[in-house]
Amino acid sequence: MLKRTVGRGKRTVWGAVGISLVAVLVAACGSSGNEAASSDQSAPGGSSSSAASESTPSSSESSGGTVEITYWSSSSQAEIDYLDSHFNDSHPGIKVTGQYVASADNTTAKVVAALKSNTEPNVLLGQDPSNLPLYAQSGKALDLTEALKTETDALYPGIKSGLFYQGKQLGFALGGVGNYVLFYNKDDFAKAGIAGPPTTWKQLSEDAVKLTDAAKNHFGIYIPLGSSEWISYVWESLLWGNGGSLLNQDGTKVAFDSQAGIDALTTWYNLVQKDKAAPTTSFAQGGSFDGAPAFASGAVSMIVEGQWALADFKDINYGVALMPAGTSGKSSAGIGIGVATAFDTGNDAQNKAAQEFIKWLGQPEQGAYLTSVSGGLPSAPAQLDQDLVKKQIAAQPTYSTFAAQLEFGQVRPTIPGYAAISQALSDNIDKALRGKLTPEQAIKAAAETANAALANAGS
Amino acid sequence: MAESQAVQAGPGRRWVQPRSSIEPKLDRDAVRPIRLPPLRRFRARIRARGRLWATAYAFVLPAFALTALFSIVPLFMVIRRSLYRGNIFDTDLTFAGLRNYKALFAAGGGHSLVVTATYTIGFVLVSLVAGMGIAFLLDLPLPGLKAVRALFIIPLVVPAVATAFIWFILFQPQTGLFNRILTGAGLPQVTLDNPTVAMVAIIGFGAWQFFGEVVILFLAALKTLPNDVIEASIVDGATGWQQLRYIRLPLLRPQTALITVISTLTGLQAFTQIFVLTNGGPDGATQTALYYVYNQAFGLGAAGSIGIADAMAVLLFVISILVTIAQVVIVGRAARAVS
Repeated sequence: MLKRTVGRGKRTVWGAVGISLVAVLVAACGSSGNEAASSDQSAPGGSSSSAASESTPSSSESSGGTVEITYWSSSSQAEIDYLDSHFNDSHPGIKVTGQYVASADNTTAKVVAALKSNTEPNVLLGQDPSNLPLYAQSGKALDLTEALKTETDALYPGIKSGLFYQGKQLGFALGGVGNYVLFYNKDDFAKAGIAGPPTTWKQLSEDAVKLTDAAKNHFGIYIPLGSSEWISYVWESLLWGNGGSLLNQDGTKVAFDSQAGIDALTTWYNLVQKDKAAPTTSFAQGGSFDGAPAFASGAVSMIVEGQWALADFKDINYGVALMPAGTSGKSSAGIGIGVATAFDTGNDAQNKAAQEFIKWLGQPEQGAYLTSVSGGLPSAPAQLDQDLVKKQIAAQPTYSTFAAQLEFGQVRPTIPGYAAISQALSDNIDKALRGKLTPEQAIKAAAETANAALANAGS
Repeated sequence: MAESQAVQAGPGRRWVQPRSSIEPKLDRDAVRPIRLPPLRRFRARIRARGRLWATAYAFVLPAFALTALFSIVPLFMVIRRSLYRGNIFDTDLTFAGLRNYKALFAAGGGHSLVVTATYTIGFVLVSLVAGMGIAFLLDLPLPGLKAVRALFIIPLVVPAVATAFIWFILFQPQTGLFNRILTGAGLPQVTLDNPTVAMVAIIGFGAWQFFGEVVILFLAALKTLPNDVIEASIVDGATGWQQLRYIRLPLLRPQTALITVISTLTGLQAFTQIFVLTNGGPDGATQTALYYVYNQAFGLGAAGSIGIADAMAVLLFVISILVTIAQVVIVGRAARAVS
């Protein structure tokens, strides 16, 4: 009786210990699995690394000289399939495999986690060059200066600067960029007796006053309100148009606290606060601060917008024009780009293949493909001559204006502190537009916050 | 005083010392069937108890191992990392002592702690008052009330991101429901660009999402209140308000204290609705300590500091522990006052 109890007791103890050991082992395998899979470089590629290593039992080098590389993309699976098949068909020595990663805010955290655990892809088709300084800190971002010189020189000049950080080219601009232009309501302009869209902000201000009808709650232009990157992104076009710049030569301090910057904000401030020619309530919607509903509903006669808003404006008889010029006489607009980055996996053959893949993406044919599937704009003028883009030009009357604006565009500076600078700018611009600060005070406050952030950046 | 007298008879005790009567029984039951000479019986009892303990610990081991692996070890990693400077990839780590903690306050961390305190106080007040009030209403003997109870669980079981997004849409300028009603009534619009509105919105969302849990806890507590005391008070001619003020609320004091601790800890960890509704804005007005951690680690890219993020996480941990200890002491006192 006793023996049996003891026996059962022992079995229970060992059973329980066994269960717990299994549980711990499972947990341990789960946490170290990624490292194990990536320490041999046969299967880079993040979350699905173990699956990848199973499906490719022979390592990258041993399978008849074929180098296998992976890339991450946030575009559609159809695009990934297209790129995979077209590249692999034309490059017998290399096999690329695209992996879909969800876009939005958490991509950064995902890439950081992959870089830290050595499970990063060979190539990242990213959406945001502002992450390049972050990736550079990993020491794994490959310098593309040599390999992609021809392709980079062929890009629009305003795009090029955004690809370099600390003298190294860490990214390449893919086809399918975005920018913004001035939209104007043709019917409103005809009613007010204005012949055509304004070409300078001075003229725009005068037109906006004429177009405003306070009694009917109708305004000349929408100036974006709120605290969002969009506000600083659009405002930068006025700064550049006035001959100003965001940063000093070596990127250590901001330079927007200049007369050009104060004039730029004064232009907006006067439209909203002095002339009352722009709404004082925000028309932001669903996290977009561009205020498209203001123009779509006919509440304003002009707005600064990108291509994505075209669908919203289908009930409006509108035209598009280049961004008005500032005091320097030049038009300017921000350009948003997606960048391809190659990561050093410690394997020369893979690194070369990764650069070869990006080089291929940089050819006019692939550039035009990416431009047309994204519905965006070309990253290099040569893409305009490709059939796929020509089709888009024919289908969209506004396309040529958007493309023309690219010649007078600039990307956001690629520095660690840009997010903080942009935030400081949009917060203070918003305060000025709501009448809480004068333009001078707002610019000064933004510069102080931004300079403090720049000094702290990367510590 | 009337208050303490009324409490004397209460069953608060049951809640305070629930386990003491169960534990020894278990041991005896396990050993009793075996009849042996005294010494051997003693040894067998020790052995049996040892087996029982070993079995018990063996069952605890997996849970403990997982807790150690995923909570305790990372905690020490975070504490250690908060003493270093360097980028997020740890390629240039240098020991910094407490400099990250100092830098934290220079980089707006103090403000985010104030925001956290404001949020937590508002959150605890609203969810406690609303939760308690509704629990009292649901406790009334009215037909059909049981069916209504389930409604208060809905915010708890629907994913926070989804419900936060609904709130986000409600606050949209021009098109959101709130602003349509306000414009319809000729009032100015409210948007999340306004610091006060943004704070009220995140408190409102947090409390709305959480108060269902408070309702359940209070309702359960109300069900355990002794009918005899309440009936006696009715016989003595106590009004409804007097019953509430002098009998029910004092009897509920231990539970109230516990629920306050739970709500406070939940409040200190607010993140989801801030991420969805305001992104910490406008101008940092809703940037709580936890959102600050996220922003420094990931939101600011290379301009953020992982050391500062970790320092803030450690600080928030210490604050949570201190607040909990303070509240547990208060719970103890409340419990003693009842018994």
